[in-house]
Amino acid sequence: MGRSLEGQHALVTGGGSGIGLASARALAADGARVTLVGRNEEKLAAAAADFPADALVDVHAADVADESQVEAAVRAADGRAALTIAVANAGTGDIAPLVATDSERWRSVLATNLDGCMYTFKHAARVIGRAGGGAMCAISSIAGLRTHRFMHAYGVSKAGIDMLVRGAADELGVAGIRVNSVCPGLVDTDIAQGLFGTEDVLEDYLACMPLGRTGVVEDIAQAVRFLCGPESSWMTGVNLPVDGGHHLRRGPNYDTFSKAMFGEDITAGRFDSLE
Amino acid sequence: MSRLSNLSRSIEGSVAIVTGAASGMGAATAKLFAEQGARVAALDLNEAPLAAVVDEIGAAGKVAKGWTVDLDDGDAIKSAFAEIGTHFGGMDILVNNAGISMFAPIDSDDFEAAWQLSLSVLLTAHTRTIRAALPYLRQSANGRIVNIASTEGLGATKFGSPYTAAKTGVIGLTRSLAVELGGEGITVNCICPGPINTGMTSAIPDDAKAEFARRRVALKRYADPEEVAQATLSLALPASSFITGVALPVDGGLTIRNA
Repeated sequence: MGRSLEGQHALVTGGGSGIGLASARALAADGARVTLVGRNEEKLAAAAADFPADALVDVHAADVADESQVEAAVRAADGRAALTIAVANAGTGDIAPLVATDSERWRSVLATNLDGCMYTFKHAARVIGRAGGGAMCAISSIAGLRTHRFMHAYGVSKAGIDMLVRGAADELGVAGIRVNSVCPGLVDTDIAQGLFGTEDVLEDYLACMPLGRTGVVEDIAQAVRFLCGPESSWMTGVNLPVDGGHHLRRGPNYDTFSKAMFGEDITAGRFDSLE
Repeated sequence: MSRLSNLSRSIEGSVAIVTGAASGMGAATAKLFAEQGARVAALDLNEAPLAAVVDEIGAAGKVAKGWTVDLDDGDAIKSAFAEIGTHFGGMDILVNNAGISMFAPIDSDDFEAAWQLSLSVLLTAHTRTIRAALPYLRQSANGRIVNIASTEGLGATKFGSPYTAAKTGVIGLTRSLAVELGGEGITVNCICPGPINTGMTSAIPDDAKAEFARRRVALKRYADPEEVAQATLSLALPASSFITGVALPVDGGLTIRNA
């Protein structure tokens, strides 16, 4: 295949590692210029330095939970070369039973995952629309499609992202902007190391995955690459599971985490210990 | 210098079977897959237009061979797949694309006939091609099944019950076989195309298409068949090894509004 993204410019949030970095590399592999956005400038610079010498890579430090920082990142990227692709990937997670949910941690997850996606789409759409159209893609999760007990803020944020994607697709089609999301299953990233390192949780994941293996970041990156490229020109508003088939089954069992962090009683639905 | 990507986005050298390859999305798929270096077994009921597609692929220096098959005939499917296996020495990708569109009110005299033929060609034939291809797909390093369902499998249109029931069945078949065959590394997905300019929609007047696109489709247009073929190709790539059991709308946003 040719380098079918030649002339495109992609902004990738959470671009310094994991799925974001792999997505940026997959886009660059087909000729796109990329701008990596993340909170940690050193981490971004190190990631950018590892691209091949002929790749066009820039970095911009920003926290996606802060709208003014997202707006500045989009403007800076668009100033270097017209932005045509945005990948809203930056995300974080938290585990807590509903009855023990801390409101600040709840807000923090929603701020990064859902607000961050909205800010990225909002500001990227303005410039992509002016450029005549393009593609935006969010990284959602299996947790937005299937229940994950004891992981509400994350799941709600991802379900919110999927609806934002569908609404934005419906609204922005007229501007020539396609909007889709990828819903990864369990993927080997820094954020998921707690899941990989807990044997019974990992076993439960694998039991619910028809393909019988966990994902690697490149599995997701290839789907992002497809949804951002001309090959998906008739697709918009889609929430695409890339999960080894996990969405066909049920969400994972996090009882082990809840017991370790919040105790047997709360996990089993006995709330007498709560104030 | 480090490589930017480790997964292959090439189907070069693979053997791909495409049903309904004489026209529309099937023809676009056969041509695209051949262009990408696959050896294509092209199946269709209609001999002359199938030969034209195969000749066009050959003239471009690519590889395809045609089999004239009625997918309503289980024995014909069996013998064609045996020949394909012998001819190409294997099978890697099966695209169940062939379709018919028969509208019939539930109380009409021709409902029974429409129901029988729709279920046979749109759903039962899929199980037969999959059963025939499976021994070969099991030998492949990247076994892929892509079924062409429809947005009619996600919603519904008046008088379309045979079609809608069959296409909903294709989605169920896809999900079930994804679970059944996942352990063997064979992925099973389906695509739900929305409004596409094909023979099936050619009878719809242009102004009716334009009105439909304006009111219902987020991207405000009908699609070219190749835009569906590109999505089929994406699911067939070695790089798509972690995607299975998906019902993928390729519909310009049609089902965002009424799924």
